Amino acid sequence: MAILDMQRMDVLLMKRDQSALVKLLQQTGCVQLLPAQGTEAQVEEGIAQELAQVGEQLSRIRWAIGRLSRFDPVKQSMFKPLPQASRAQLEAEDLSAAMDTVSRLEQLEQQLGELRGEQTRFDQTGEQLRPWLQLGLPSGNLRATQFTRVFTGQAPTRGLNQLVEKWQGRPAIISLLGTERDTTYFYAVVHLSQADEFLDNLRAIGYQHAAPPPGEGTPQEQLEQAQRGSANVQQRMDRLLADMAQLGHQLHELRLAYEALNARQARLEAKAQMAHTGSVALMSGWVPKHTASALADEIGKRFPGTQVALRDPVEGEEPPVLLHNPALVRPYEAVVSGFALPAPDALDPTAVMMPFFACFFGMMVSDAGYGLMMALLVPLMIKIMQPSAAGRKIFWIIASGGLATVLWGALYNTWFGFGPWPTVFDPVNDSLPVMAVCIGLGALHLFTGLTLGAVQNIRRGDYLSAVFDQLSWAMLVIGLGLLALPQTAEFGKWLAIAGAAIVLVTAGRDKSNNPIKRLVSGLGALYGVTGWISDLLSYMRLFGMGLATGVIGMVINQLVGMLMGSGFIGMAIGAVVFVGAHLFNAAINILGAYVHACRLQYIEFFGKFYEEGGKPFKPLRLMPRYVRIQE
Amino acid sequence: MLSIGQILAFTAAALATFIAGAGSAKGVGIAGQTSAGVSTENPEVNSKLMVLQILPGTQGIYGFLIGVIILVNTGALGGDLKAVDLFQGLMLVAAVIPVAMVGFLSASHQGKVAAAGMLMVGQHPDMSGKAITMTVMVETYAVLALLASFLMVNAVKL
Repeated sequence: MAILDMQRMDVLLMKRDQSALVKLLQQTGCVQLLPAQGTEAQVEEGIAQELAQVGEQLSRIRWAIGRLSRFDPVKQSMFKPLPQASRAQLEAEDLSAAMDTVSRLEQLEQQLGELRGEQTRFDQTGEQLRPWLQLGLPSGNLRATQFTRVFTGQAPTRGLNQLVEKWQGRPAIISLLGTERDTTYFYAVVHLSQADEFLDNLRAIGYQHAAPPPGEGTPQEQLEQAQRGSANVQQRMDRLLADMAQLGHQLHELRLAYEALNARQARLEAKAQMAHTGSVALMSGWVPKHTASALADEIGKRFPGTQVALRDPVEGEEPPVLLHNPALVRPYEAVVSGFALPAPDALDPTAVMMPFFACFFGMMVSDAGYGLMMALLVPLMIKIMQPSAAGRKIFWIIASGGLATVLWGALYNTWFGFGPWPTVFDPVNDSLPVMAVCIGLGALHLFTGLTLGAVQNIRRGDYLSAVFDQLSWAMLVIGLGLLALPQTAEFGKWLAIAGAAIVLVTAGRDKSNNPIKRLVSGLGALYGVTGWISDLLSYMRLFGMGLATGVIGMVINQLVGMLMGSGFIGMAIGAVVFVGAHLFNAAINILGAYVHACRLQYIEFFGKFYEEGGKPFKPLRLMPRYVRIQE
Repeated sequence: MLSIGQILAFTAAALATFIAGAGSAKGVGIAGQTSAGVSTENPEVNSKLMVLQILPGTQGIYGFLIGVIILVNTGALGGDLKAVDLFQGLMLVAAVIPVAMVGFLSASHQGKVAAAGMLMVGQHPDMSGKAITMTVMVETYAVLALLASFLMVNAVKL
């Protein structure tokens, strides 16, 4: 149970050692660098250029990975662990092979784009030709001659039919072509003398000029040509896509190169943060105290001529926060950091919180069968999936919560919704004892929080605050509680009055020197008693959530029981429903139990003492995204 | 022959399931729309949003729970309906008011808080813990209402 002490490390080094030092720091992964201040803080030109270059390569390679991901020969799955990679692979300097692949992919993409454009053109030509397909001669042949004029276009079908009838026997050839909805395409050859009248007639029926697209051969021949062209383009595109799919085999290398580039970018950014002169650089950062001197020795040994200075943080400095707990408690750090990290000089509540969290979680899931499933299957899933460190913490919280669930499920006597044995607590038929247990556990939780607040004050030497802010409230609330029993009511009364008096007089001590104003603040603070009542009531959710799981489990079993009674098919369906419905019930209640257990810590428990505000410790280290580091 | 009390008992079970369920449907719906929108912008946070989307669903489960307890207590689930007189039927209807009404209101408000929390997670994925806490706050009253309804339903001795 601790926040690790941090030390400030300053290293004065020759610039020629800079790259190697940064690499060493990245390997050890225990220094968080601080940006340099002042005039020497300007980033060296070479580094800035290199950073820009790496940034550009990174974005290209990220694009390539995204583009190729659907050609990945290895199927990705939630249940498959990430592939392993050695540290050497993650620090690779020569990435030209991967960048060649990216260039090749970019080329293919460009060619594909051009082909797509070509295909669109062919498609458009086909679209334009469609109404003219019945035209049996090349479009170039539709020309006016010495005595004729040619009209081409579209007009409403009905009007056109009437026109054809009207012009029968006159020197005009009207040939109707394709019809689209209620307009028809046509061409007409008319003797020059009648042409003007014909045009007037055409206009009267709503004629619009249109002409077949120019080109060699009849429209039908042109269309076939376009289709051949399109098919040809499609073939070439298919070949390009096949080439691209081939590149999919390079995905693993691309991902490794991405990791290496990412690591290089982190190193360059670290270098950019150092203050520097012509030949010397100054690196400052935070190091956990227990590794600091060993690291300083290592740096001194590897880079002779380097000056390393270590010191404890001084007043006004805010070191980053890194929690450190025994292996059993460590997963629960995720719960704390999910809220906010404690301030650097505050308490790390993880270890105290853990038993409460597991207990509450167990009460809310409350089915021993589900608990067994969690406790047995989740470690197996960790083994198979090899999740990241953060995911692993959540998994272990659920697994350990599973053990608590088995305990509470046994007390409630609920095993997959069945109750095979005589029960200790029966929430459905005799709910008062269970509610009392919930409130009791809640009170214990809240007083533990109050105690931690007192410990925090005492650790700082502020004994009076411990009495005024924590002991007073403990006296008041316990006193009020004792009022409920006739034997202790008298004692409880005086305890509560004493506690209330302390709160009344001291709660406003930092606000004003005026005694009347202080009393007013004290009265306001006393109103906080209502807060205690609502905090205590909040623990009734332990009962409510537990009840929900149990009753739904029971309902599932009743439904399945009905199915089981109806023959062989019923039994088969019943078995499926049993498994599916219980899995659903377990999943939704595990989620609910997790978030409500978190809430009880964050609002009720932390509200009594927690001082948040620590900045997380973010050391320079390898942080691969697509692979796991092989140790 | 059914009595009015039995019909009232069924009405109570129906109201608990339907009103609280409607609230959850609304809440999950609001949250789901926002989840889709935020995921379009930032697909990586999708799994975090899923948790937020499920949260307003619990009120419907609470309502269903009370409905089922009424059916169990009246023997409807066992297939052997017990006698329920008029006043017992009315008591059951009164008993489901908390879980139905509070369930409806808290689920739809929880959906809105979840939606707002999703926007926050979309911008700052590391704040999902806080978004979940905010959203769970709304649920407190639904849990209290569930308890009140449960105690009242169990107080009706058939």
